[in-house]
Amino acid sequence: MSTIHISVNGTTHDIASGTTLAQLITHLQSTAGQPDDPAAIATAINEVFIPRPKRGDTVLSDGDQVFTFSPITGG
Amino acid sequence: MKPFAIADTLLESRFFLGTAGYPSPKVLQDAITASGAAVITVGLKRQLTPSASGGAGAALDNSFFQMLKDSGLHLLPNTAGCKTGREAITLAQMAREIFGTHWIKLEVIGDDYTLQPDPIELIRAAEELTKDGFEVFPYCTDDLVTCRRLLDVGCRLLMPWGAPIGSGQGLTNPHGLRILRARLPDVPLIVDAGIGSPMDAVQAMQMGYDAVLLNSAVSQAHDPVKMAEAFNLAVRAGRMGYEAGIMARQDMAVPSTQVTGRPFLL
Repeated sequence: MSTIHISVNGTTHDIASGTTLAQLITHLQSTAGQPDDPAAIATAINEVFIPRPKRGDTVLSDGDQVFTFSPITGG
Repeated sequence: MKPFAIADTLLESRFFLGTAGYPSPKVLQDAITASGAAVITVGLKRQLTPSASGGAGAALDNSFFQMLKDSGLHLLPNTAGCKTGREAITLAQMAREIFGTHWIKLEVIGDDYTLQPDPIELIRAAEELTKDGFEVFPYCTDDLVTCRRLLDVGCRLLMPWGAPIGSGQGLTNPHGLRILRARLPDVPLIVDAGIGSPMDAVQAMQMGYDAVLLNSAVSQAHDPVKMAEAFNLAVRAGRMGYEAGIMARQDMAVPSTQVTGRPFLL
């Protein structure tokens, strides 16, 4: 199985080719010890918003920059 | 105080409160209650996991975030940190999904030291977001022409600054704010940023501004909960003063007691 290189919030990751954004989020949350909660974050690839329902259809490409955002307090 | 309408919504309070930089979630929660605010601002941060709460830029852990969502308060997410319209549009789309609201406090910063908005990028982003169904609350300056352009592209309200964000300088250009109010009499106007003391809020409300939005003046107070209540009262007092009609200033004294000259001099 070939691998591709992506970044998540600026950190490089090697993942299997064909991985979807939804699979990546599940993996990242599991690795971080967080519950599988797709609604806890919003996602973007290469600065383009990817809505939650489309994550499963979004196959990551080599060099993609994935961003995940979660709520904070704000002014 | 009677409700006021903004963005097709009736609000019981003209005080919008920011949620950043409080000593603890408990203090924030108590300050929100004391403020009487119906609208609170929130943000998004590039991170995977919401975790600890408290302090500036704190993540909203799930329980606290759920409390905010269940509180009945209107959440107003911001696009803090964005320097281009494109960034702000993407962040707004993410905020809509996370917070479940089409309201967005649109911030596009043009200068790092003053956090002054970039009017060109702001207008571009506002146009695209309003077309996409957002209710845009644009953080802008008191520049009348920029404000008109924001209205032209679909904004239904404006949020001119009183002073740079977090500076606590109060209304540094009251003349400009008065002109804006006079030239846009039917547009909801909210003074956003720079307010330092309850007196500043009274001043803005007495000018006829529809509401004020502030954060640091409360969160950085020695007693944020008491300060939140102080602003609650100030906003109400300022609005009541405006509605009651403030007397015209006179250059010279005008006796209020209608005596007949000096009491013992015939």
